[in-house]
Amino acid sequence: MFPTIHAGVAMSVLLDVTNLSVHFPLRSLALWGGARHVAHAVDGVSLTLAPGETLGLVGESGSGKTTLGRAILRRAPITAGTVRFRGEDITTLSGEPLRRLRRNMQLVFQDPYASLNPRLRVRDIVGEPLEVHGIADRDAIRERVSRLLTLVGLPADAGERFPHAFSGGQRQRIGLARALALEPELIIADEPVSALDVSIRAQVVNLMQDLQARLGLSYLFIAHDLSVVKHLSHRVAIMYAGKIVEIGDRRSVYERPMHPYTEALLAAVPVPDPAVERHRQRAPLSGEPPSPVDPKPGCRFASRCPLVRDVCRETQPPLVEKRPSHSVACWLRE
Amino acid sequence: MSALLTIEDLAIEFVTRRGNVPAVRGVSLHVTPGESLGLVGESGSGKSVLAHTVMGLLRLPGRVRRGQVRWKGEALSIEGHAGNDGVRGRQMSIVFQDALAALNPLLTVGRQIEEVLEQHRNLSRSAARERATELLTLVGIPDPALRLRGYPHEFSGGMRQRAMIAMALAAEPQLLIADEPTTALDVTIQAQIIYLLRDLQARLGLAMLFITHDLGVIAAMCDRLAVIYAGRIVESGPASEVFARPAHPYTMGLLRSTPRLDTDRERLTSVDGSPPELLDLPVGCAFALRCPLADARCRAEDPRLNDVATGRTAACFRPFTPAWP
Repeated sequence: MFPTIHAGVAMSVLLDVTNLSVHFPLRSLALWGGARHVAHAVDGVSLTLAPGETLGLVGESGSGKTTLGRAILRRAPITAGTVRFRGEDITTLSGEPLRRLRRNMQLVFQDPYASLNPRLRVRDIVGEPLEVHGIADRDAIRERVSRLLTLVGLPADAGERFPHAFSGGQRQRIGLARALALEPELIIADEPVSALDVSIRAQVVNLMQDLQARLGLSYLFIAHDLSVVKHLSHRVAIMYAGKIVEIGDRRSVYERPMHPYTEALLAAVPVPDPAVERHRQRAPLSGEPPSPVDPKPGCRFASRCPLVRDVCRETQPPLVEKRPSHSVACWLRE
Repeated sequence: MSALLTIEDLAIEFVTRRGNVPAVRGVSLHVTPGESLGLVGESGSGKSVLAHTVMGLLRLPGRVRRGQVRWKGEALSIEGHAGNDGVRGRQMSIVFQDALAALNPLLTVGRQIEEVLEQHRNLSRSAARERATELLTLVGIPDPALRLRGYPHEFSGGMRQRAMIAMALAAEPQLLIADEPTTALDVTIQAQIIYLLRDLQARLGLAMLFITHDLGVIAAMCDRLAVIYAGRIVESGPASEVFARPAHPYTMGLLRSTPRLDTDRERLTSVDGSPPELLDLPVGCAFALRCPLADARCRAEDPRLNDVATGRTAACFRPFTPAWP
């Protein structure tokens, strides 16, 4: 491994994740002794994110996408690798420096019903981070909260009401207002629109795009399929069983995917047009993702890959840049 | 062809402390043999309540205000415990969204399928076991003989959904009602289940009532579709025609706000606002508040579902008028 010099690139890279792993040791079922089992939730993931950029992180359940997001925020134990934010290594940060760092990185959750405290008024939910971080006095907080609510398109009187008075889409706006309160540079959005109805989903996606344009935010936008991500990402990363199998510029990944799993994900999303669907020869990917516990050697996708070869079962393919700004981990592309 | 299932002017309400919530407000639908009808709507539109009522599963605080459900012309009971009438579970069956909640956790998957076979097909226990093995093979579960001895929690989400489909098919029904059967699944597993259902439909000549919020799934599965909004059908017609040229602004909005992989739009069209509070419905059209076309008449008068083309209906005063740029 070459040492990387980060001082000079601080402006072009906001977030730099290198070889990040999150492994969870499992308790052995045997009374004493017995083999130690380890779940490889995230395994050697590298990615970068530029200021004002959106990286779509796509994976199915159990792929490790949520754990990766949490590890970047330092809310999951990092087993190996580094996370740099604006050039600073934050992998082992703790105490007050970590607390200050977290003002710059905020999380938006999937479930707008579970993530807002039902006993607090909206103004207190949105103002809480400002209070916790001791950023402003009461009057200033009140004013900032009302500006935040306007920013996310909520009515002026929203602050006085409780979360239950709001629909799912409006709750997600409240979650965004709260995440924006501390003026972060990075927002990790963990499936922020998956629980919303289609007509509402577009409202929130468009709002996130507007906020990015106005505030220069960077998004790590986590999703379980490739459809929504297509409309708001600059770059896309595909995760499978703890690893990034493909990452690149949006257009390149969607138009010329290189990994068989990416191709399968693209084919799996039905197009809302019977004329297209009727003529699509869809042979769905068979099987299911492997267990993250004590993974076998070789490519994690080998058990489901229609193009699998012997080498795939023996050696893990490295993530290699095969086209400009487009990398893939697949032996078929070697 | 005469219909298998006919729903006539069905209205269902939920009795709550705040008042009676009109969940379904006069819905008429039919499904003919071998056809696949998609019922598309968002949360709270009444689509699942409708399916449950058809299956005789409506329970208090839900109750039927008016209307009928017919099976091959014969009226079915729709109030109270109306399950055991030789039609439900036998000639029509249902697949739910959440297979883990729908299956009995204390019985093996095999036992649950065999119960259906014993009750509805009068098979002996050994014949039922043999048939259950065939059914698991039919729905693509590997090692069927072994899996029959497994409990629902030992199955993955996709395999559980396959097991529930096997159970629904055990009585050899003519109509399968699928209530968001793929919503809780990962995309690649969803694709497997859609593929399976389409294959089963073709092989067994099944009719289907497919309930979903996902227009993509409808496009992949259905011959005809009906769009439900705030408890009412706002549009229906052959899927290919409705997708190509929607008549109701809500259908247009749904289509425009659904992300699609085959176009290169950077921005989605969004339908402003949210569905109306059912306890406090507007006087006119329920969609008027969100509709860019709405005028004074739309806010004063509720449009009826009218024929707008051959085989097509829409509840709009200005059908086919483009509502979004």
